Amino acid sequence: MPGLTKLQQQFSDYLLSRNDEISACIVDDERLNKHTRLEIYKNAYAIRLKICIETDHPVLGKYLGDKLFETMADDYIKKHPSHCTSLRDYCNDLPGYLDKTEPFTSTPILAEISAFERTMLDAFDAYDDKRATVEDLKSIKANKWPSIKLDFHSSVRVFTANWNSVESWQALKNDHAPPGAIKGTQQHWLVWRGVDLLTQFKSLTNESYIMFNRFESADNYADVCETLLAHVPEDTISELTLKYLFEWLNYGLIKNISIDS
Amino acid sequence: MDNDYLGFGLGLRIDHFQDVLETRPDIDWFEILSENFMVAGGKPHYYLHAIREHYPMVMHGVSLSIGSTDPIDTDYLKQLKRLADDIEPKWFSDHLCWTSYNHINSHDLLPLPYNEEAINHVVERVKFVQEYIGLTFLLENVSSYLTFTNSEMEEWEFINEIAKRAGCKILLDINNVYVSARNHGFSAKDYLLGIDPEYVQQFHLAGHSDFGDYVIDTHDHDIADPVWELYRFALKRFGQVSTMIERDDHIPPFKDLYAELCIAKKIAEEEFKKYARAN
Repeated sequence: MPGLTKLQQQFSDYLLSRNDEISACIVDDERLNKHTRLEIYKNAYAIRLKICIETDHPVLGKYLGDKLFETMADDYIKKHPSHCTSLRDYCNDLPGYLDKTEPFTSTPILAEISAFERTMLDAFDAYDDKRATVEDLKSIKANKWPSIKLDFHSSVRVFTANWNSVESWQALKNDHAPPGAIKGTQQHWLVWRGVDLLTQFKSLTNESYIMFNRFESADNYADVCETLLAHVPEDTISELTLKYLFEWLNYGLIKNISIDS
Repeated sequence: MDNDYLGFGLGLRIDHFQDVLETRPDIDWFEILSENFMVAGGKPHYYLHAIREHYPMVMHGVSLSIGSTDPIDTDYLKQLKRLADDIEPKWFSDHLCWTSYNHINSHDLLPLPYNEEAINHVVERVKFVQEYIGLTFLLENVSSYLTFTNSEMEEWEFINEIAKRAGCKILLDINNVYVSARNHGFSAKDYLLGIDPEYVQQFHLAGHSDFGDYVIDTHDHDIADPVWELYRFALKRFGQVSTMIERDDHIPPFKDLYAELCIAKKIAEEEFKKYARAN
């Protein structure tokens, strides 16, 4: 009779459909045979993981349809035993799986839709930071403005789409048919958890993406304006940057405004 | 009043956050699922703290894997400690089971063989965990669907022995006793009579799914009549014990769950009145 370690290894192997050595260690009785008893656990394992995929990726499920979703979920569960303590993280590898696995790899928008859903989940339960206000910005003296630096709220993410994945996600979320998958110009989306604790997203213009990136890389306001010179007319930079700064503050995207010393 | 007696509580579920905050129901305490709040922030944290201001809480986990032969997951334990320090629960609990082997997580409450090797293994880990968290730890009996050939004792003897040697308490899930009794063909009442009252600090009540040949602990139905009967029996055996209802799927409106809790309260009142009259 195996010791505890071996017993758990055999049980785990059974759940993962590797072998059924464990069945020799299970009491058989006429009320319910040992194979049925073991199957209760194996079924529960698969069902639990499938529910996790459904819950975390409802729109991907709609895009795939029931049959293809089942195929995908069964194969993902088979190839990805959970190494996570929390089911919250079980689907972290799903975008990569869809990107590399036939038949899904031939529809690249699927990987993007799943990545977008994961980005939304990450924003949902990211750390609770304080949020800077418009008044905080207004209180900074004019001569200090060039040295302004920003720290973004922990929930803020940029999602980059090569396909019309976000538009498709929106359509399906609202129970509309998604547009045909189109690979277009790269589009950046800002994803964050708002002050109302709901996850939100908004497309970024080219200038706002550059501005966000530079601030996120710890550039100060003067450096950000310098970078923008290559993309927009000089006389529009003040108005443009102010517009985005106020917008970001109103959305609750900025945790802290500091002065570069 | 016994400091370990909290009264009648419910499992705090996301679906009910708003109801609880807005209506402040007459409930003695809430049990939270620890893992639901082991995230950095956001909505779960907001509601947890807002509700904690008004109700005592206890923490109940599903991922400690106390019976696993994998090393104890210290990252998980740190998160558990952080949460405990944050919300200051009266106690914390998890299941007498294992969930992972070689770091592959089944996310299920898998059974242990009831033998000396398993007792020694679990006792050492319970002592460590209880010491680390710094609160009383309760071990819950799980529903099980099979028996290992190397089990050497009854489940109730196994759990008593662990509680005694490890210095922890027992969270007695009445529904799980019923489910396992049906699945294994033992008497649920024998089980309750076998549990040492000294260690019982909390009851769980829940619903299950009956498939005829076997019963599964699904927490997605109202509490079944035979479980209510067993609860009456448990009250006679163990006296006043903090009691709560677990509901994890097909979650009904809050008022319906509250009404179910009132049934538990009424049954307890009836049993204690009978006891008072008889004495």
